[in-house]
Amino acid sequence: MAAIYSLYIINKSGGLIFYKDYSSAGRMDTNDSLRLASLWHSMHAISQQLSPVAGCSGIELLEADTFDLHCFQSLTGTKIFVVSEPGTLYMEALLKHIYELYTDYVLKNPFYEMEMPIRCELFDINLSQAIQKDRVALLGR
Amino acid sequence: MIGVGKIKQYTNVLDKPLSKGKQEVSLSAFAFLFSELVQYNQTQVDNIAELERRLEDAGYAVGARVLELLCHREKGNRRETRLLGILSFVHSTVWKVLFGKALEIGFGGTLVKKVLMEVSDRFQDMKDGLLPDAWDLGEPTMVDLWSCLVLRSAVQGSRIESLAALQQMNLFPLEQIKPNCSPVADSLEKGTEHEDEYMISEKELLVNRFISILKDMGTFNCGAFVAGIVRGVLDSAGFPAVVTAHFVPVEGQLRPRTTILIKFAEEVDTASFMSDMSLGLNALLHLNLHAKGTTERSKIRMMFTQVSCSLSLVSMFELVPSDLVSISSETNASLFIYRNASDVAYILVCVDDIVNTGNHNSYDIEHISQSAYHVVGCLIKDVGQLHDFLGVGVN
Repeated sequence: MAAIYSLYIINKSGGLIFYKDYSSAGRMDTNDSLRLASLWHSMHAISQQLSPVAGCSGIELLEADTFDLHCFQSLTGTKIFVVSEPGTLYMEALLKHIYELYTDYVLKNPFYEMEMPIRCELFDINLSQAIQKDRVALLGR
Repeated sequence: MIGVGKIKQYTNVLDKPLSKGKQEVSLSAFAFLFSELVQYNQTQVDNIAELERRLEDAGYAVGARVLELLCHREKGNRRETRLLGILSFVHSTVWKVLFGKALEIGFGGTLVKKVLMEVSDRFQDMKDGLLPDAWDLGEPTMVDLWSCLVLRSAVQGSRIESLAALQQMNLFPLEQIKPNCSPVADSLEKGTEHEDEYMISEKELLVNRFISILKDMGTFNCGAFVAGIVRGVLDSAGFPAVVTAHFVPVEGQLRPRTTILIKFAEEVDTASFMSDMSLGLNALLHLNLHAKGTTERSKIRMMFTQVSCSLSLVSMFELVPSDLVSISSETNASLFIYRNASDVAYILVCVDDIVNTGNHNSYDIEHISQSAYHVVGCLIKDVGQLHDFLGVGVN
């Protein structure tokens, strides 16, 4: 039983720069995932405008019958979101951790071009470690 | 202007002590800066080899300055002149200042194994397969390194023919020498294939911590920067060397280690041999201090003189270390005869006296005693023409 279905990272203009599946449920092809990413980007922006609360930063959690979507937006506008099983705990902590990994292993890598798809070996290695379930539980404590 | 009166005024800026410097730097800040350095250099070059060279040059400038700063700050303006000295300076002082940790001296078995191979060529009973099985296990220690160096010095400098004879001398627990070829922790070690190669091996180099190399870059390693630093230090200290950084894959681990290979220029090679020998001599001295019986002690002394003799021969005639085997005479353990074409030299060792004669005209006794002092660390006293030997006047 996988708790996390998939992980997306989108750049500040809505382009998908990283996508990874973690279970067979809700698997998408490349086109669909790109579409979902840009759709989420626009929805996030619209929610910011429509919000009755001043200084709203956009949707953080979308709850549906079959999945939860947790989103984290960095100050520079890069968004990281995970699609997970309903009711999965500690996703905020996980997202923060993934953001740390992103700043460490992607932004500090001289061979990464900004706003381009992420292809960094170290990021992949550390990410898969972080995603492991016990690790998720550990972060919540 | 508060507190301005408290600062001691120095009339000359050169009298002012050098500040300790800030010991800590943000890792992130450094990583971004280094990343920027690589990116800038990338825009200036056409190919990967060129990029590596530019990074090395950047490191070289750092290394030259680091040497100057550290010699001034930590060593009272003294500079290392010995090979082992400068290497230990690199792995302890330089590494500590640059990366916050000292490297282990790695025995990693490579040196130990090499020495044993050399020795086993010499020993008849080893060739016959009498090599103890125990020599294949475990992790070597400082004692092992010492023992091995003593062993090598002893074997090269004297006429011990068999392992059994050496074991009889009971100088050190031979059965404890257990070479191991598995990579140790971050370390500095001697190369297996060539005498003049040393390796610094790091599990994860600080500069490489956040860097993933693209597939199409081949063997490029950002450690070239660190290699440049090492080259800068060695070069400025007068030990010209070629230093390169390589990825070395390790079994059972996702990430390869980074190995920085130091290959010294030829003239440093003999000096390196000398340092080994002097380490062996120091070890012998140490053993002498801890020796129990008088027979044991006299054996060690004998060995010591033999080794130091061969050492002085090397420095005197500028021999290649491998010539040494043929030096010692067959009839007398304390008489050394060296022949090379028309050159003949006799060296007679008697307890603490060395008598030296021959037709070699280029050697000069001052030079020998100085080089001996340099290598062995003990002064040869009363150097000059022979006037008195064993109570018999000579003229």
